[in-house]
Amino acid sequence: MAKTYNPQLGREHSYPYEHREEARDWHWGMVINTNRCINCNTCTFACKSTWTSGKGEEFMWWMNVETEPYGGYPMGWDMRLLDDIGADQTVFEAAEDGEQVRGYVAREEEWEYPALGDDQAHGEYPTGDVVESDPSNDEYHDMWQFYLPRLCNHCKNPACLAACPRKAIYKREEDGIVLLDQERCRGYRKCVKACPYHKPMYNPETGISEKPVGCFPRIEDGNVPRCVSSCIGKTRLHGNINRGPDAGPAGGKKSAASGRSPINYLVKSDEKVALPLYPQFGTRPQVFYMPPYHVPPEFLTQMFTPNTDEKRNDWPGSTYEESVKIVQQRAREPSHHVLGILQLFGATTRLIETYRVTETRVKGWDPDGKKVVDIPFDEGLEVREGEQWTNQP
Amino acid sequence: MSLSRRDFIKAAAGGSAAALVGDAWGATQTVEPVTEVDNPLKSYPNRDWEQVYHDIYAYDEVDWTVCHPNCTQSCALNFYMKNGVPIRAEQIYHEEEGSPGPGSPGGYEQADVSQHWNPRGCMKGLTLHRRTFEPSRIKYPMVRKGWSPDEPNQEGRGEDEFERVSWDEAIDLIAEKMANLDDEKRFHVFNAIKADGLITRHGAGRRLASIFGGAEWTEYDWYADLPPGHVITTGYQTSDADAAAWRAADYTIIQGKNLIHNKLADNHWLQETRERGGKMVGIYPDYSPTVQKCDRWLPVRPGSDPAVALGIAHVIISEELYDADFMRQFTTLPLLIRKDDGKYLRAHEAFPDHEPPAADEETQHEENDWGDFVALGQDGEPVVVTRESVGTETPATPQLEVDTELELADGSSVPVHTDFSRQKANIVENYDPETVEEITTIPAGKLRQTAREFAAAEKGQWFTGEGINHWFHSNDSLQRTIFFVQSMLGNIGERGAGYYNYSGQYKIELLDGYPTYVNPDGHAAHGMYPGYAFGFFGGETLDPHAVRGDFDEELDLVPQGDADEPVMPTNADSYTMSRPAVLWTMNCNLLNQTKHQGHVVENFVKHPDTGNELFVVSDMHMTYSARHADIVLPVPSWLECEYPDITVGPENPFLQMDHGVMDPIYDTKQDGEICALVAEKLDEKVPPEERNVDSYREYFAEFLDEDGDVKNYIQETLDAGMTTRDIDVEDLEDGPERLQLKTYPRIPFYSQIHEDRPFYTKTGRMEFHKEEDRFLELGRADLDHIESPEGTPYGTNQKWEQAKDEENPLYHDDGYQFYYNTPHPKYRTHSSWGMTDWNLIWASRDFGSTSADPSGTDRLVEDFSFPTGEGETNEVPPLGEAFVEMHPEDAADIGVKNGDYVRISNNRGDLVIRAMISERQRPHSAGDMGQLTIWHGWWPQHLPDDEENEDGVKGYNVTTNIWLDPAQETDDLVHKGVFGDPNISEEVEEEIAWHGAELEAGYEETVWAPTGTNRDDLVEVEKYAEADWWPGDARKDDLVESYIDGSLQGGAD
Repeated sequence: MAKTYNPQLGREHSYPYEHREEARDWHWGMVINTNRCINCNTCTFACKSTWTSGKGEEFMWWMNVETEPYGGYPMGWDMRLLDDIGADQTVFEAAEDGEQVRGYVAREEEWEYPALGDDQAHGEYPTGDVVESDPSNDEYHDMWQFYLPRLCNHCKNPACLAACPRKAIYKREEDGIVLLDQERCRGYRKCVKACPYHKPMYNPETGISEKPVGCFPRIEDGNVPRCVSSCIGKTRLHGNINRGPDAGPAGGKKSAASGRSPINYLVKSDEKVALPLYPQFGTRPQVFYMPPYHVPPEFLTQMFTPNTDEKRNDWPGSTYEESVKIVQQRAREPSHHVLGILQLFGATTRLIETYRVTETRVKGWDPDGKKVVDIPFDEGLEVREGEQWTNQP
Repeated sequence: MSLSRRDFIKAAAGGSAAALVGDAWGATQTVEPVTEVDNPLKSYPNRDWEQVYHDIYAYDEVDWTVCHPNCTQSCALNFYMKNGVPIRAEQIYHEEEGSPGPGSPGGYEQADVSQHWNPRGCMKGLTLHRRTFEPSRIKYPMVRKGWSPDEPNQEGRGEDEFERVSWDEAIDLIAEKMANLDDEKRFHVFNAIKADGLITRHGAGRRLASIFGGAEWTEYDWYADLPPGHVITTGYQTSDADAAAWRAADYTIIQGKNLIHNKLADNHWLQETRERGGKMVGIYPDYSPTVQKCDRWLPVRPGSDPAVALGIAHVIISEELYDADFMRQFTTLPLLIRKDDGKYLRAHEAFPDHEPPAADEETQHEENDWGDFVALGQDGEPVVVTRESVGTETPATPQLEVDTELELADGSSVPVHTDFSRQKANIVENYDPETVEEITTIPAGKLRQTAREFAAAEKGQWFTGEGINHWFHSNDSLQRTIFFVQSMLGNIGERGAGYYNYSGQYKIELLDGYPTYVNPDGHAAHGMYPGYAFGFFGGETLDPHAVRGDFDEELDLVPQGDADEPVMPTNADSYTMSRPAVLWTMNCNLLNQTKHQGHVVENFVKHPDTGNELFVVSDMHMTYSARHADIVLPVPSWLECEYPDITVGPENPFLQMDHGVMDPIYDTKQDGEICALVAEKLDEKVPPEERNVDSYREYFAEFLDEDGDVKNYIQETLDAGMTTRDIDVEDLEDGPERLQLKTYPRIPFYSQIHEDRPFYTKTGRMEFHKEEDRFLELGRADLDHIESPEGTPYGTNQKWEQAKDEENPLYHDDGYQFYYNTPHPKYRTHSSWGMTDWNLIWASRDFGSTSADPSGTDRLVEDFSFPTGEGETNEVPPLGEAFVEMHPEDAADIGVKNGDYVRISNNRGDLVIRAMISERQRPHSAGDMGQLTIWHGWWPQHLPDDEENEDGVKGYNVTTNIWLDPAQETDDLVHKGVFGDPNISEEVEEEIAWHGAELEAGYEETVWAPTGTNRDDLVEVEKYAEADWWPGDARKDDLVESYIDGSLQGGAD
């Protein structure tokens, strides 16, 4: 059994396969700002209408948005696993004999109500009182709900890949997308059982499992996934999570900016504002969330941090709950630079490889080094001169 | 997925084996692997199979059109086609290469408009193609079997079967009926005055009604979109800004508006304010989904909203946080009011040589001269203030607070005070935060804090929505008070500061050349408020006093129009009261959405006494309304349309044109073509001397002539508008164009605040005290909070002083202690997409299942074609069903668990519906009405049968009332018409449709008319039946408590 270092956890753990020596130059990654998400599920329908509207796929929503705390697709998926594994155990370490990954196969009924808990809030009605949040003052909504968009995380320690006895699931060399070979699969459903996020799904018509494909036909064309380009709340940014501060200009073009990709900045810089979903499972998911800053950090610590008493990774703060609070505050009051990156969300369908934030504008370049975004922080106010113009025509 | 034998061999040679088809959930097969895979984390030997997904993604063609239902957003979308069938839609990023993009003179570039308006198009646009193919589509014209031109047999509506007819037959029947009307005014069109089908769709219905001399029903006022407080205060239909302005605000108060659900494409602009240092406070009875985006939620007793704003006003006044200069320049606050009769003092009363206006009000309205006004300068001397002297033109520096005796020109003296003194006295005495806490249940300290923060903010914006519009008094009182607060803070006419409503698709105003099309050659249909027809014509009529909240019957009523009985208040002659012999609705699910649904269906639709002899419904789907029609006409979806059409929306400055991307799948015709064919028949049937115009056909020739081109109608409309005169139809074929307005982003009243132009009122200023007789009569001349006529535990229709010690008998004696609100769902646009499969699953929340019961689905299909289908509750729902949200305490009180059925009832009707336990509802224990939430727009098929009432009307609107606010029924309220700016109507060219437009008074559809206030109703709720099935409920899970407090992992702490 190989060992792998997991930076999200700040420690090593077992994983059935050896990793590459060098990180990929380009790796699929995403940041989702839950604070902007309105649970319109446009992303959900975009994905389904593109990929899973066939026979046997009726119950499949590779992309779904669930309302916390009561939603869940499949029902209660995270509660079950959290209850099942120990305080400091990855799904690999918790695996039973003969298995690579600890997990379970959700029942048919558990898949059938994708909108369960939609828009439900939790809490006591504040009779005679109000509800407020102010993360800088440690205040959070006593009654709360928030929306959690969920999709395949194209993990760096994919549980699905680890579990497949036929090695029919693989991670692409050029972009890290994890795919399930539709011709090699025999429908054993070990992946369905293993994925802690329950994104591989079994097709009862074909007898084969399917999993989200990272929209790779779009990626290969230089476009972001459908869930990203369809998001009208402008909650998402997608790109090369591996592109760090030392990388050269995009596409090698002098006119393009160098250095980090925008999502790399949001996730890995010292202004970190985005956290992975359930990193304690150990799969190194590559979708990161700007956590909802109105929600009590106790809940979010369990959901967006390794959730151990001892803090081992390089996130801000001395405990994981502190990490959450700091990130919440950063999301509530973003710096000029982070606000600049937020302008890139939903600005283009093209992959943004590098970017630049100035005092007044934000620009982005695609992997070929072509400029694809050039927008102001603030739009101008245009006033037409002349007696005949009115705003009440 | 199976391979042919040949492929199998090929694959086997290449190294991978075929999959064998299994079935159900259990079966799998195994075959020995042929290919070695070493480390799939590092590499994979054979990736040819990936072509499968390339093939799925591939398309034959892509074409774009615009999705523009009544959500008001208007979104262009690309549709990808395989074999001529759209398989998916994708959002468009207009600036990108290859995308339909803006041309000149509009476009995004000129104001350095950011790449922020895109993407647009929500999940409904993404299922537009599924909606186009769903079983509920109407496939061909049909006539109700029980109907004939001479014997309409109204009782059969909704029950008879339909039979197919040809288009020619259907058109002929309609034209024949119209031709035989003894009074053309009896031809009524309800095409929903919306900006989403302007020329070649239902807008053509208006054109037809205009040239025929008929009447048109509106939607904007009937459905409670119109915020009368805006018109009362400013004379302007609705003050709304472009969404791009929202993010400039420092502080937002959002009250009774679930914006994150109903402005999907533009809501990010509002959310961005918090990223930019802004703060947001929400005022709702429940933890509305929008509350999660708020820094503070003030839970409010429904119907008490005006008191909230009055409390905030109290703080601003008593702590002197107001901008006196702004108040002086733009409002009536410095103007003198006579204390004896409540009229604004006129200049000719104070100054001997000052010319008076005409003696009678009617002439005053005709001449647009209501006299001049008076203020006191700093020196105590009166000065004349004309309606033009606003802004920097305000004479002297008038005193804001005056309470004195003034000597008049004739030597007499009269006690006077300023509008500000008047409002201040009332507010300071009656609306301190502690009293407001009693009224609203909002803690005084938090109200105060909110008021101070709002006053301190540089740019404060305030939103209300239909949550407010639907309450009888909140409807105008709250709105007027918000303008008062915003005027005190100088928060009007600036980007990021203002007061907005955004309910409804009404921004036809922005297409200001439109009268050229709908009122051609000056012909105009009579505007008619639907509530009058439903209330006063038909079987049992409604009590005209009760529906006006006038239980003491003090209001003077007179017969009017086609009504024989006294049903209209005096001084409301301009309000049309015409009996609809022919009623034609287009793009409107009238009967599903109407208030007082049971009454409307039983006493109007199905009753012979109505005199409604022909009811025509044009629609895409076999809706509840279509089922009750005499003639049903199928129209194409936006994907299938044959003629392009244009659309505008209230929160964006773009004009867009749609066009069909696929062939129609059924025997449909677009509304414009239908109207054209009717017009052609009318020429045949109506002799020239009896026609209202020389030729009806002439007005629709572009639809009918060989070489006709309907784009000419579009171009004519564009040429006649200031916002569009530089736009060519050809430009629209390439993408959206930007409307030409005074500012980008559009900021209402920009010119009033920055260029000294008057508001559209008598005084030329924002008016808080209203001197119109009706307001004085009703005691609503000033800013006050008045308890609801029904929705309150306290005294009805009273101010708090009296009301607090009284009891509403409906609440206390009859026990109706709940109300329900019907917020706009995101998965539907009202009732549109109501039967689209994915939308139905998600709209049904906990009860939405992908495991459709096949026989349930069949039942739905049958229902649409033949309305004899029975609705039965099956064991498992077909995709989804309606539900009502109830607080757990209230549910427990009546023994109801999640999934059980309840009966909701009141004096007007009742419905049976499944209950969903919902902690975010305002419980009865909060002290007043328990809240029930039914998301708006369910079809009757989504509701179970009521075994105790099998023949009753099934719908979620059966308990709501048709309220008529007599304050909105007066000929004296001055305002501007829908189109045109009277301030500059002489400056614009004569070709512009509103050249010469003047201020108006009295009824004007969608501007000054009674508005619906549907939710001001009390109901009771009781258990009906146990659940026959229910999905999981996370609340019942043992694990959920520790999950929520973060202690689930690792076991008990």
